Amino acid sequence: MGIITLEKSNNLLWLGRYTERVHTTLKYYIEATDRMIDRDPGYYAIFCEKIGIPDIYGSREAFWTRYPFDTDDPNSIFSNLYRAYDNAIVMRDYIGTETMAYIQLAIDDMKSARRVDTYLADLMLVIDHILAFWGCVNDLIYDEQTRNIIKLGKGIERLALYLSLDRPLADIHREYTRMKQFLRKSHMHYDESVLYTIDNMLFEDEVCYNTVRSLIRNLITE
Amino acid sequence: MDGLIAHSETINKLLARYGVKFGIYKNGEFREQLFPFDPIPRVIGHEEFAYLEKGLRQRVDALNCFLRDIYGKKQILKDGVIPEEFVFSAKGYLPPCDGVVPPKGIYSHISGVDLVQSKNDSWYILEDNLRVPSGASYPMIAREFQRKSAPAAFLHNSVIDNRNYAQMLKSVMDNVNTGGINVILSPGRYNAAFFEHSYLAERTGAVLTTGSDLVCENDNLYYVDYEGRKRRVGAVYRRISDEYLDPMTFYEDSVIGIPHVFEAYRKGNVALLNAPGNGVADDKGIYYFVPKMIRYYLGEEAILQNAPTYLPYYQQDMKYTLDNFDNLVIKDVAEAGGYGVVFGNSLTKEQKADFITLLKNEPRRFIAQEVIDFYDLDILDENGGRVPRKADLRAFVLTGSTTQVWPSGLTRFSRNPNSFIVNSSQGGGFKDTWVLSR
Amino acid sequence: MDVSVPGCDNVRQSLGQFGSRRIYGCIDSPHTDFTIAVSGKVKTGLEIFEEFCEDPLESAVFRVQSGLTQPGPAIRAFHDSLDLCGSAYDRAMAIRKAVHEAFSYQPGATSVHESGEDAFARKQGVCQDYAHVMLSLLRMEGIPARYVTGMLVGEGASHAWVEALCGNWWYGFDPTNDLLVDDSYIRVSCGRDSADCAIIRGTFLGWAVQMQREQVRVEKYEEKI
Repeated sequence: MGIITLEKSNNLLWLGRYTERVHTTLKYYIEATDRMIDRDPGYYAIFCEKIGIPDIYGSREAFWTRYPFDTDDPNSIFSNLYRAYDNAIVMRDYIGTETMAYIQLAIDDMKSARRVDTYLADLMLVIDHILAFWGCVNDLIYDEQTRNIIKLGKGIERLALYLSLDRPLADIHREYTRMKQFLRKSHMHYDESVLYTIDNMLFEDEVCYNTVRSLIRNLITE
Repeated sequence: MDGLIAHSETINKLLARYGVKFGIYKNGEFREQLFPFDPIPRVIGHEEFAYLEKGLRQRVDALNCFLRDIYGKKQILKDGVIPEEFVFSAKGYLPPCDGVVPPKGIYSHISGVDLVQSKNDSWYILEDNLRVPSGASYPMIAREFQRKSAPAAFLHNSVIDNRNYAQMLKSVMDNVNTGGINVILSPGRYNAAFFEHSYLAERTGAVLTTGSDLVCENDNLYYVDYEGRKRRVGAVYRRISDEYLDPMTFYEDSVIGIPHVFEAYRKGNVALLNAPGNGVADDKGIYYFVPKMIRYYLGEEAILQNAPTYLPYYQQDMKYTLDNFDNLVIKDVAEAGGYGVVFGNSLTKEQKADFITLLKNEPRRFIAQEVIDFYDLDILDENGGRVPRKADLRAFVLTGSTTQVWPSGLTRFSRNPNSFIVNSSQGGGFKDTWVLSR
Repeated sequence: MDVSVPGCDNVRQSLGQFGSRRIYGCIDSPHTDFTIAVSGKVKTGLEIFEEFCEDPLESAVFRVQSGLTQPGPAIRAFHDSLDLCGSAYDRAMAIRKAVHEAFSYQPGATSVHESGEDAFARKQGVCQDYAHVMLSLLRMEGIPARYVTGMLVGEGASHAWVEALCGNWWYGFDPTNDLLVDDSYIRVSCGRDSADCAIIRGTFLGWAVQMQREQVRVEKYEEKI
């Protein structure tokens, strides 16, 4: 294809970011839910604080169902999945009907999981289909540029979330190195000085996750 | 065939999976709906299709001649074949197009001609759609799924593969391309046919755009990428209507159009498919004259007949319309999509009186047609039984270096047993259309 | 004639519909305002306003109603109340007078895209509305008629009037001032109604409230040959 407009590059970038946001927050949600069963019933407040969303839930039970499924809650996983869908549907000619289908399938999984008691197990299917989507991105999108921009979005989002979730520095270093590869290859506009600052900060003795995270979020200039 | 029916659930699942939807506004809110699919195909035999093909090519060729003439010498008006009033008061007649010759002189590249079959097996033309006919993508992708879910049905039936539509469309674009890339211009994802726009872009290799990344410079059209590089555009398969195409020439408040694209087109620097101004030829009032056009331009008799139509504009037709009001269907020439259609026998006494006053005041605004006794097609109801329903056929006729008929078509049916209206916007569904190779 | 648009270095020309001249361009860089200045000398004379037209096909497009002249109940009733007879010219004169008397001139009463019918229902309007109603009535009489925009001697805004085909000649009628068009009228463009004849049209990208001001000044300049 080879011609990606500014608007389309944004769609690709955000497609990467939202699919990754669904993937990582869903995994964290499943982990946190386990913790709330007996060990730490009030953990949802910390969960909200960590990923930087307002705690509008008030109870463990409300959090359990509203955070994944409530489409009226702009921070729910489902809302983020719909944003991924919004960015995918306008890019059919770049990513292909086959690849797009996995986002649709993830939406269908969400809808059917919402209806059953065993939704935790059923939510695993959403992760399966997101992974299948990533598989298609690697396997079926032949245009390097398109692939690289999606993966850059994914990388940025993962790094930002890992920093939020206080993941070990080794994980951060690994994801940062991966993200940087795609940044170079994607030809997106970014601020070289910001990258330089992050480079230095990440290898200091005391890494300030918060500062790095806000720098990462603002890396791409439009 | 039984295999298809048994697997209809699978096909509907596949349609959902691949996002085969159309958008609809209900109470001001946008929603995506699945286009209901019925697994029993409409089957058109080899010889029957050859007949339709001949008739459709003839019709579309004549319509293209008409458009070239109307925006050129207007000989058909000088010779009095069509009253000029019908042309100049048609909503789709666009004065800016006067004297503009599109690349290779082709006006209607993609024509959607709606036909119905009557109980005595004759085909009638219901209307021509020469502006932005939609629907080809649905049978195209449905076939893909049918072949996957019931391969046996295709083993013995010699069904011509209809998935070549994308190649046909691409060669139509390439034929008029003035040197550059092909793009598909869509109003955006909230348009009813967005699935089709994106699917055809994927399949033809054209670039899908909503116009914001297209610019005109020095009377050329360019596509701008995210690094600011410009690519020349040679052909625009536009899926937005004429009035929104260029705010500098047509509807000034259009935000989906491309400013100055009409200048580029006028100077021959880009092809627009279909050409702006085509609405004058698919006007319901002009429809009446198509058989006369065929005789006038091609010196042939029309192979495919119009549904018997009366123009209240002519005194004797007005009289006939009033005398037979209850047996006729009256259509407002300015409306489309199944709206503005009135069945004479469905009106109350007062409604009828009001309508007749309107008809007498604005005779040019209406046509009257005999109600055709449709040949119904079977569909599967919720319980798996077969029930008959009204259906039409939209044939796609593509004009490139020659005029060709796509060996398939969109068969739409009404889900309501008493309705004649098959439009998807009004709850209709669709079937695949099989054309047999022998 | 001189055209200047500061900030725009790609002014181009082409022929618009109905023989109008069209000058167009685009300013790429961000801006908050721009000005189009057009100045020049025009020669007017009676022969320009009485244009000959023999081919009925050429005028046919002006014989049918267009978007903004479509009559409704108000114009239809008014048409029924008129006692029109005689030649096309006589009827056009009578319509000009009747429209002039029925309307009261009210700046700001109407919006740009309003139809003649809507303005006439209120009986208030500006030159554009007078012209639309007159066009509507002339076409109901089967007389081809076109909308003309232009300027008058003096200072103020642009003006609009009507031309009707009487016999094989186009005559100008000004229903707003109840006058026949003479050499103090400068013709800019013509069309089926005002939508065809915008003196300026355009579009911009961005969030902004827009305001447009127009100023016309015409001075008489006599040249002896």
